[in-house]
Amino acid sequence: MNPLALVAGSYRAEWLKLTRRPAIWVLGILLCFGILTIGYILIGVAIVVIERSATGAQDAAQSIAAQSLREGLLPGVMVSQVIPLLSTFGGPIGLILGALTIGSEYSWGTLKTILTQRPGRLALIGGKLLALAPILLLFSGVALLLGLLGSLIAAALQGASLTPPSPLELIKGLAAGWLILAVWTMFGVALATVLRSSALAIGLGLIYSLVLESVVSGVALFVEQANQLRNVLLGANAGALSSYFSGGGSTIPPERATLVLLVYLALFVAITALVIRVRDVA
Amino acid sequence: MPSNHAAEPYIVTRDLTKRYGSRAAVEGISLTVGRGEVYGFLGPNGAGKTTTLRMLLGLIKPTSGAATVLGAAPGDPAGLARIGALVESPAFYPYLSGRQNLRALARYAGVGDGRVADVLATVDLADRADDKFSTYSLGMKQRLGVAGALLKDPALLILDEPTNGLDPRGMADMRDLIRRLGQGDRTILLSSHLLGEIEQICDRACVIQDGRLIAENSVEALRGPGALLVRATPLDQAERVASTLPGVTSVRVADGALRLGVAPERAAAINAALVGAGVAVSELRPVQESLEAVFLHLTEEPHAPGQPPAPPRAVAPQEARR
Repeated sequence: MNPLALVAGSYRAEWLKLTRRPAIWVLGILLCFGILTIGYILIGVAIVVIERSATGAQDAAQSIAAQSLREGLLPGVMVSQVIPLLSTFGGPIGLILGALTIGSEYSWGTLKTILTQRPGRLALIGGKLLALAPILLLFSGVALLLGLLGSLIAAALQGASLTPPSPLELIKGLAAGWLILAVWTMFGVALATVLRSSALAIGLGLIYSLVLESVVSGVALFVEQANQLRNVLLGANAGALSSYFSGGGSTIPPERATLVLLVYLALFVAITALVIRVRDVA
Repeated sequence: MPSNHAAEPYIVTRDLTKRYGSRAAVEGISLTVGRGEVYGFLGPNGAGKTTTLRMLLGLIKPTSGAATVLGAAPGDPAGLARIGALVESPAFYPYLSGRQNLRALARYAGVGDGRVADVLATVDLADRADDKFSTYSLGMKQRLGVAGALLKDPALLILDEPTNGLDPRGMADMRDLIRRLGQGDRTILLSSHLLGEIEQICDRACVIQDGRLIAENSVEALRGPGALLVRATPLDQAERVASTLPGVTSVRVADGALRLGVAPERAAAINAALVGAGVAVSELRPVQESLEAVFLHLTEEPHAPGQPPAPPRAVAPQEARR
């Protein structure tokens, strides 16, 4: 059997496993819930609260704030509403997804079961990553669809234009969302492979994404060297890519952010493949 | 079926060694298993059996030495295509049913889904195949593990402690299954610390202790030549007389009887000599050492750490029992 056939067999097996694993769909539902709740429902509530609390001299400023929030909910700019959420909220979900995908093989002892069947270590990893890729594309696509749905409802409630973003904008958003999720997911895969554990990988990954990057970003406001470090961090570049859809605002150009994310993606794939290839399976 | 391991070796290892730091888990294992053999890998827990099997399957790399399995390097997909294995406890996906687990394995193995129903029937698990793996009893999990190993209709089946944790009925069923699987051309490498299992199932066996091979032969040869059990009165006089008789290599008192190391054909002469010396013989029958006694004898022989034990108890390859 040639190597491509081994990868194809591994892909089909991984697809069966991933699509029937409840944890994968729980993460997907959590992502959808986050997009709708944080991106639309909470903002809608905030608009209502601001408008009801507007009094006297504050009226003008609060009206501007409420109007700005209203405009952000419209279909025409929904990509700029959804993709930053895929970066901030979807990133940790991707990390957990990646860590579970390989970490569970260690905790259940199934890695040895697979490797004694046939595929070979690199074909196994190839199949696993190939199966993850369309699932991440689905997550990204559903997130955009939910954003579109939320924005259409918001526009209908406001009596505003229902015009959606251009197809090109949607495709760009889909690709950017996939890349952001893919990098975080591969981060989880690489961490879980190195640590042979999903729990530790998720813990350390979340500490990195939620604490370490925030600390570096905070220090970067005052220290130039820290700013240079921040500019190569995973989360900062994912954020920079997502800010492209809202007209910039990041110090990292989107082209450079895309390149850095691709380098991270390749690096995590290489680390995973190397460790799986050389390390004993106990 | 006669053993033909010398002519067509399926497993060959030469000085296979695995060290973890300064500790040797397996040291200098050299063995050959031929096509069609049911070969026992016997040793106490922690002796290095599973480590050796993992090296044969390419799961871990040897520190030194070499092995070929079905003519390929361990872990080579070309070799693995003809090997079925159950290493230690059966590991499957708890959220999938037995059937779905086997389907996933069949895809990894590159065999059609049609094999899944066949192997489920072989291990008598078809009626529970659609239940989740997490709901299976230990015996069902072991049987599913064997089913997974059979998916490729392998020429070589490697089973590591397949009866571990099973109740007596489950153990008997599993042994029957292994015996059935070992019929025909299929080669089986069976690791176990249960002597009765090896004795009942295997043609040849090796004994491994502290990572070293300390004996290898056919099961019959491992048990050694026969002996005579003699019940006589007075026992001390019988012991004195017996120890002087020609052909008697050892005399041992156990459970109120003498155990004489002598060819069973000498029974009549022994009886005559004892009676002639005024000893009343109430029972005299041939007995054979159990594999358990041999195993205890072999594994209790002290050898200093770092020093090799006595050379493997090897006898010229014999015809297998089957």
